[in-house]
Amino acid sequence: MLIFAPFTKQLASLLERHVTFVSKRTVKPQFLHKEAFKVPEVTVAAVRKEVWHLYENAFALITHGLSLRRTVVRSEQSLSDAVARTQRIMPLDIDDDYEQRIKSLQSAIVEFISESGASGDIPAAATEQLYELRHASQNIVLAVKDMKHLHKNLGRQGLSRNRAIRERYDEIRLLLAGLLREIEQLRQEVPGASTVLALDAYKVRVERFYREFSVRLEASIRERRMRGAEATSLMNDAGYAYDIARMLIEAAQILLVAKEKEVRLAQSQLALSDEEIEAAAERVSSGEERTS
Amino acid sequence: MKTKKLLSRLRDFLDAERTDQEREVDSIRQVLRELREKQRKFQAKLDDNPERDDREEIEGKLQAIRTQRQKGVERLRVLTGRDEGFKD
Repeated sequence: MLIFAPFTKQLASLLERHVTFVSKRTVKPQFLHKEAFKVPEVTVAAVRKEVWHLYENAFALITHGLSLRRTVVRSEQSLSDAVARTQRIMPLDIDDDYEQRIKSLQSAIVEFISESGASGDIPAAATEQLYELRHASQNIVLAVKDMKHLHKNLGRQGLSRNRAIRERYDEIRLLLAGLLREIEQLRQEVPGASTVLALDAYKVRVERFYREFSVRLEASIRERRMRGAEATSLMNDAGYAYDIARMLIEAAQILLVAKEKEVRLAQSQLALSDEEIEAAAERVSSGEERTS
Repeated sequence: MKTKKLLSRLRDFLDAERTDQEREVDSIRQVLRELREKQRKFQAKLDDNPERDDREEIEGKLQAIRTQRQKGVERLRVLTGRDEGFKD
């Protein structure tokens, strides 16, 4: 002890430089092994599994951010009832969870993809798929970041005694919980040639949600059921929900896409463009679908 | 000899392109079959109970499937040169 006493400062700086603190909670990649670099198809499969792993962590975080339980979202229970019955906003340290469960995995995925490119000749098709998977992982990360902003306001206003405000926040929660359930159901399905296209319908729902939400907000202000400032906050939160939904859908569509080149091509030919989504949303909102 | 070789290469090239096209046609037909099946299921749900809670959600799904099927049929028409029709 006495011998080391004069060198305490130097020892401390040496330790700080060479010992990296890794929290026990930090999630580690499960599928990224360098042996996978030997075969491009295996590299792609490993990255796809790891991005699903990242999605599962985001799923937990977003579900809790909505103050719902994962078992409820994965079950057949009524989501509207679960949302309406909520009496407590779950406390969450999203910043910490983001660092430990999202950012760490995303960094590992990005690093692995870069290393795979440097490790040898990868066919163009595999490179393209890896690029898309990286894009999917970025979308998942961005969705979690938006959830952070949304959760802050949910914590303040989500269970407001003002019924008009509570109903709007319930709509936001229901939209996202419904999407998480839809993606879970598609994951469990036997993958078919049309699996990935099913999410186009949810894009239509998201589009309708955003349009009808603004209309209902305007009505609430007109009827003096809420103040302008509250409506502005809600509109921002609807924007976050819209972005979260679109990013998760895009990520899931990349993850669920078929393995066969021809089926992928067919899927991309039939997928709806943004204009077609808007037109479909318009038709459903105007009740045209009912009569056709 | 040179011409023969060139013609043979051209035939190989055209055959390869035709095979790719045939595979694409098969895949689109497969997707269309699945979509038609889904459409029937959703329509049956609505017909059973037109006032169900998730009516608008199902209508959105039907709307998306219809547009996807129309696009698929149109693509098939371009690829095969035949009008395969669109039946609801």
